[in-house]
Amino acid sequence: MVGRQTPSFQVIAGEPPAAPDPRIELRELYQKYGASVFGRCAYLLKDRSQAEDAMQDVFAKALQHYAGFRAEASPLTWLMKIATHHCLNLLRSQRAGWRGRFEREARAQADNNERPQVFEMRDLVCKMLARTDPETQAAAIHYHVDEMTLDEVAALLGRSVPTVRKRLQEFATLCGKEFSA
Amino acid sequence: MTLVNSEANSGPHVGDLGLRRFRAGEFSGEAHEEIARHTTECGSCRAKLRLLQEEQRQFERDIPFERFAGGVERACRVPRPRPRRRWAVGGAVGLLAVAAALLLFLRPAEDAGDWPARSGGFNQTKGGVSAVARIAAASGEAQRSLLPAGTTKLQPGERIRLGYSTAGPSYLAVVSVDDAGEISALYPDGEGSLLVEPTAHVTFLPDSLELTGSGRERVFLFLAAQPLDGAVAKQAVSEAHAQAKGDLGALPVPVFQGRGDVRPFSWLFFKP
Repeated sequence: MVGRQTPSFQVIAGEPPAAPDPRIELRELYQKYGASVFGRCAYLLKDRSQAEDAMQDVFAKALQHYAGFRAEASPLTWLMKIATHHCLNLLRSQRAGWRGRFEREARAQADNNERPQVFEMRDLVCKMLARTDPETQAAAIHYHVDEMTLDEVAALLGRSVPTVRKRLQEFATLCGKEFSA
Repeated sequence: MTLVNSEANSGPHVGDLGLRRFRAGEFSGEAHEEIARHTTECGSCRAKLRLLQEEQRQFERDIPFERFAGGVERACRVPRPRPRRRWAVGGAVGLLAVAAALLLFLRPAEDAGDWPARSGGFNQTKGGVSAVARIAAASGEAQRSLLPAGTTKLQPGERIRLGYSTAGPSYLAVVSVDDAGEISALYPDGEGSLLVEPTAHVTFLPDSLELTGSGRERVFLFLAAQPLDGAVAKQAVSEAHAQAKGDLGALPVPVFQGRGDVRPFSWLFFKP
């Protein structure tokens, strides 16, 4: 008897798409950007151990926002901005701790007086960067260290060119130099 | 985009970041050609490029990939404590209990917004408790006060201290939310709330607070008669934030179900 056989089809589950190996991405970041980011952290923190920790934090952020990071026109510019911001925050935090100790001592000695409490100690730091506001710090670093143009610094910081120019002029005044750009 | 510029250098050269990007292969087409041509012709930039290549080799010798990768993966799993927005410091809780009460002559808020009227009210004084924010430049000069419900624009470097007074023992927690919807427990740093003693005058929390980043940040100070868990306070702020669809200027009063003892105070800061 000649019959007709209908082949039976069944769906065979395929291999799931291989997940991207984060180590491959990380190796690429390491080879392309490791020294630059580490250099920025070491430049600001003046401590290789702290700089290595900070660098790891910066690359962790890059991995955690990998899609957005890769979509950046310049991943290195993004990394340097994050690294600069992160290190300046660390420095401020360290200074705050120092101030905190000073303030505690001052409070312990103080009577209940009506004079508004002094928030920070004057002449707390003599380093030039520490004498400026965070935005000026970032502007000065990106301009003088990264050698970015005024336009590039303004774009990176989300500020206008005149604002960045003003910040850099203020920084130059602190340094006792003239700023021209 | 002009990659070879004279702005930051004494002559027409590629800036440091431009050379680093070139080394990392971030340029293509004409931009790549322009820098490749320049580094061929310009001894200074060619030397800098060689230094960058050597810098990377040295980096790889000092910090092998396995060590680098392990550290990054660890940082992904366990983020280090964020350095920003710390009230500060070990022993602060004990310190607060004995901190000298400071009597301040408080001036009216410089620019109180209309937010409290729309959202149910964050008055300066409620049921024997009050709060105030004091703002000062980094130098300590030009201090000003901001009453609850106030709004103010912070200048670069300005820092904030929050103060309170309470007629009876209270539990205190401070939480903030920024434009991105990020909610932070500012005080205490960890879980729970802080038991504060009655004080007739304004007592300031230890250490000052610098709000980093840009945009707006709303800071809440809660005083409660019963212990107030920090996670619950964050949740209440999160729900208020969601209800206002992220508009920090229109945030309603955070709701603590079944907790009539929680007194909220709030300030809105525009970060420089």
